[in-house]
Amino acid sequence: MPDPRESFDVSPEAARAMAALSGVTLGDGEARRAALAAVSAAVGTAALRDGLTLDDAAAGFDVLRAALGGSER
Amino acid sequence: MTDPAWLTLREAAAAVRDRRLSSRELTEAVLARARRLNPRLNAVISFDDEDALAAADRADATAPSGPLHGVPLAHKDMFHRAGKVVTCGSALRRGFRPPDAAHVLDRLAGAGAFPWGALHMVEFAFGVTGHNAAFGPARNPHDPSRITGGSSSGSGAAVAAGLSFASLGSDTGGSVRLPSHFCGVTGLKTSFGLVSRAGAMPLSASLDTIGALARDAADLRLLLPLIAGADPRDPATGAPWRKDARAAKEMTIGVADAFYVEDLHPAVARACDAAIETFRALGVRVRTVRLPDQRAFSAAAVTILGSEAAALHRNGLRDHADLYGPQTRARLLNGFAYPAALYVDALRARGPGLAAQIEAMDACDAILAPTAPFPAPAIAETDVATGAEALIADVSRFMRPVNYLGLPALALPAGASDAGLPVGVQLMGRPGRDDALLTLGEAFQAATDHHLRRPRDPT
Repeated sequence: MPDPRESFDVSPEAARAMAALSGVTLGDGEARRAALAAVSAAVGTAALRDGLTLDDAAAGFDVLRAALGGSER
Repeated sequence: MTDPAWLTLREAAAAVRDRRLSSRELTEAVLARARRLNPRLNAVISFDDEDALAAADRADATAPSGPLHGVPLAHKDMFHRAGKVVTCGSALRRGFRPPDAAHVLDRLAGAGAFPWGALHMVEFAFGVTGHNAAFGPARNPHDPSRITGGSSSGSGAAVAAGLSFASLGSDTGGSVRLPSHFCGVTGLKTSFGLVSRAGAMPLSASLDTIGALARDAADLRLLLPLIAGADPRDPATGAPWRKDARAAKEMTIGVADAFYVEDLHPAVARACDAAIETFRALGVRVRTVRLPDQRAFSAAAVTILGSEAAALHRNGLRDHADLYGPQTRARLLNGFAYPAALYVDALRARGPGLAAQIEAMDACDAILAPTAPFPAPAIAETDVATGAEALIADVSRFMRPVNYLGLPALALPAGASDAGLPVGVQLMGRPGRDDALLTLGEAFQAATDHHLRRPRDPT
């Protein structure tokens, strides 16, 4: 089972760096929120891509709960 | 005669056509009601009294030219009207005057309808509650302290309160269905590609659909075929409205055994159970189905929506971030953290996802599910400034799979909470089979009266 953490940096610093590539500046709270949203998206998309249930894809993904409850799903 | 503002779209059109009511009388009645109630509801962004009355006089002076001859309507303020300010619910667009009209408004004009104004919407249609930092929140006609749902917030409030016989909206992540649920009106999210988006504000090219809200399913059947079909300006379009000649009793409804049944407000659970029994009594077959994991579809939809919306608003956020409201800005910024590979994965998984959904639907024409998990929350408790992000996310819990897969979905009023707030169910159909949903909706509304319940007028 693939673990999105192996290929996906979910840190607020990474989110901030990615936004900067588009010329957009993220504050601390915004970067954390964006990182959590990206985690949620990564898990869900990994589940679809690899034919897993979302629970399977999320297994061991300890920030998933915060991501799902925090912003978007 | 009934207050003209409360006529159905069919009745209003017939009254003008048969000269029982002039278009001017109808337009004046609607404008007067909207002027009177808007301070309470904040459903209208702009009034066009002068142009509307001139159009009404022209209609009265000519022979009926189409099925909506002489009928005034108002729509979400995201459809281009030539030479008029189209705000898209944003302070950024207060001076935006497009040169041409949206395809859908041209089609409605061809059918004889004309706009009397433009309705409230969530800023850039990127929100589900009806909050708007630039224009203030739209207010629910059943309880003005409650949300309308969004992003077609003004459309939901206006149709529910008798300010418009029907109203166009858009649905990228629930924006037609949520206001329908919270305001107690009937709304159709159309199949992806059925209605042209040319001249309508974009949010997510892969998910955007145009739909409509009305008092009942029969009015939607009158309105939507008028705007459906191919348009060279929107390459996603092609298929025309596809008529389904079957009766409801020849159809089958599925009820999911998971996801759509979890953590429901008692009023919503009661409404779903009662709707299932109503359909059974109508002779519709009902069966339980096990759908693919809808949460994964939701996550993929968020990936696509976030990525595409961020791309559209990149320049605006870079140069005018202060002109975005906090809720919209916060949601848009998330999209910059999604890697391109993730976005491509989400798009590529859509085909197999749709195939899995259709296989799971088996012989079902529609899946019946709640539209939202609860009745309208208070405006104050769903303001992002109060840290209500989890509640806001929960509002759209049952919306996104339909958008991701491009399916049609019909939101129907189906009950009320103990406090009198409307709740509804949605029928999620097969791609291109929008008409079948309206057949089921019309049968349901012939057997129930939820769609007839009006908010109390202020004294």
